[in-house]
Amino acid sequence: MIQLDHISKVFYQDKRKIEAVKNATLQVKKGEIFGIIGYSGAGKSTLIRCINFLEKPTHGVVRINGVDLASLKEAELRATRRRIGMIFQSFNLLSSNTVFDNVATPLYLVNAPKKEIAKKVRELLELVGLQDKETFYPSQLSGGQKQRVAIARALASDPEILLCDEATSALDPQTTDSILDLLLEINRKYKITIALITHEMHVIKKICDRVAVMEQGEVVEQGKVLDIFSNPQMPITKNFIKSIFDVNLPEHLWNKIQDEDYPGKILRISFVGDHAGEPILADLATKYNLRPNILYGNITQVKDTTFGCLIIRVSGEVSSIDAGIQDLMTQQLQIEVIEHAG
Amino acid sequence: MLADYIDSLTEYSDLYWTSIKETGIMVGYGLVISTIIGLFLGIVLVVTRANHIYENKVIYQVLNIAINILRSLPFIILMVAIIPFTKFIVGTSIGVKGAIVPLVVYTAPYLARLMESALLEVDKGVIEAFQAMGATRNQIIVRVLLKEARPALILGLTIGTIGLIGASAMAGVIGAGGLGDVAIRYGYQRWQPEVMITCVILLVVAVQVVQSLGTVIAKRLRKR
Repeated sequence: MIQLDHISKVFYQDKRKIEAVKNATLQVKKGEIFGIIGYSGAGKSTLIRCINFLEKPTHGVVRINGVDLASLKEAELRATRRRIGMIFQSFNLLSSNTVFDNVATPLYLVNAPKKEIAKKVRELLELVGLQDKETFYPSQLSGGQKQRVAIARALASDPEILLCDEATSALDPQTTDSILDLLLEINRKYKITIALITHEMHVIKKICDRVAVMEQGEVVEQGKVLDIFSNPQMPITKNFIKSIFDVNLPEHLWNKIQDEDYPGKILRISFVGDHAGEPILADLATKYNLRPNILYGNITQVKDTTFGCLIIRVSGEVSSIDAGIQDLMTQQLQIEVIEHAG
Repeated sequence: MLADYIDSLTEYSDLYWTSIKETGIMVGYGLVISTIIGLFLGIVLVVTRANHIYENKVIYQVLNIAINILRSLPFIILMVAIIPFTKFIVGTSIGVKGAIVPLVVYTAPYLARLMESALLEVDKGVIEAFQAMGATRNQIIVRVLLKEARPALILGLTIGTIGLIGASAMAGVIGAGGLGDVAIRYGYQRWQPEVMITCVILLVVAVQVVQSLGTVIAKRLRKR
């Protein structure tokens, strides 16, 4: 659906060369929600603007449904852009227009018949839950409501793709969640492919299927969100995950354990999906006569799948401990023996 | 004393009416023509900038310098300096007709700058959103720039109009009449302070009315 091939973008600022994006390659598949995460200045904003050619890449090819955007004439590019909705961190609504007129904008631009416009706008306002705000001006709305208007506007031209440029970064956590729920609903109901950029791992965790991690203009890691969560490779990815989901034993707990003196091993058990339902700790106790003790843990929902991480101490006979660990490993759990804090 | 003043008002009432009319004609025509030219130039100054929708360094620089040159001349000098041009355009360099040309040449670049600064206030993000929606460049000018900047454009136009009223008072020099001319000829040269006072009052009232009108309209248009 969206294919970015070896994209680079170079800016010149006061004769200084700035490489905003370096050789980025990624694909967004039809119907999925693809997230790009990075700290500010990582180049993600430039990269997402390359998808609809608001920024023309210096090198590389952007293909939408197989069509190279660079090959299009101005009018053809405009037609393609109408198939790609976009929402922004700062909403970018017309302050001098009502909610109705803002949502209707893409239809006004192509001189759609009035009746059709009214029908479409009302339908969209209902979808975003603002049917009673038709005659309001943006200044009379809250941030979340403004973003809802922007989403309705982006959907007015029946796009196949929705680009979200830090769409929730200006919103409080509760409003962020309600907007993310709305995006998920749109993705499922209308089968719209969504590409978003964010600096919040929470956004990725909640709605994305796949993710690319960007650092200093480069895509350093990408894959399924669940895989990235359970097995991050790059330090920056680990940092992002740590920001919402800490899989490390806090230092004070570790120190406390060291002071106590009895045999055992400390394990980190990560589990994904169905495993969350199995009584693994009880099994350790009954089958191997071990005493598992939960020291620390974290369980979360990664889109529709449960992902968890427990840090336990098993005490008992050394041979039993080893046997127990072997058994856990056959259950395709990720087991790690921890020998130090942090 | 008040009685004397009222006597003078009635004595010169015809003169006042004619001069109000002359000022009205100069300001009216001058304003309409200057607004059309000034708004157009203001738009060009904005959209030909770097990274804007009709980016064009040559047009921007030429226009930028040309406007600066015209804006450096005081009206009284400009009026005399462009007499050949005025004659070429309207066939005469005197009277109300001869005054409108220099008034436009003086006011249009001023308005261009005022319109430019009003249009620059428009949020770049909204322009970007319209580009993303597949809007044409002309749609962006009409639906984003002009629409969003309306309150600021009206305030700019108000300032320009007041400048134009001021300049029109000097047009008396080339026999164009108007309130300024009356003030100089009767009030100053013949030393009739009551005429001077009347002219001053009329000009003050005109400026107050224009400014209040502009403020009210701009406020109504502003939805922020």
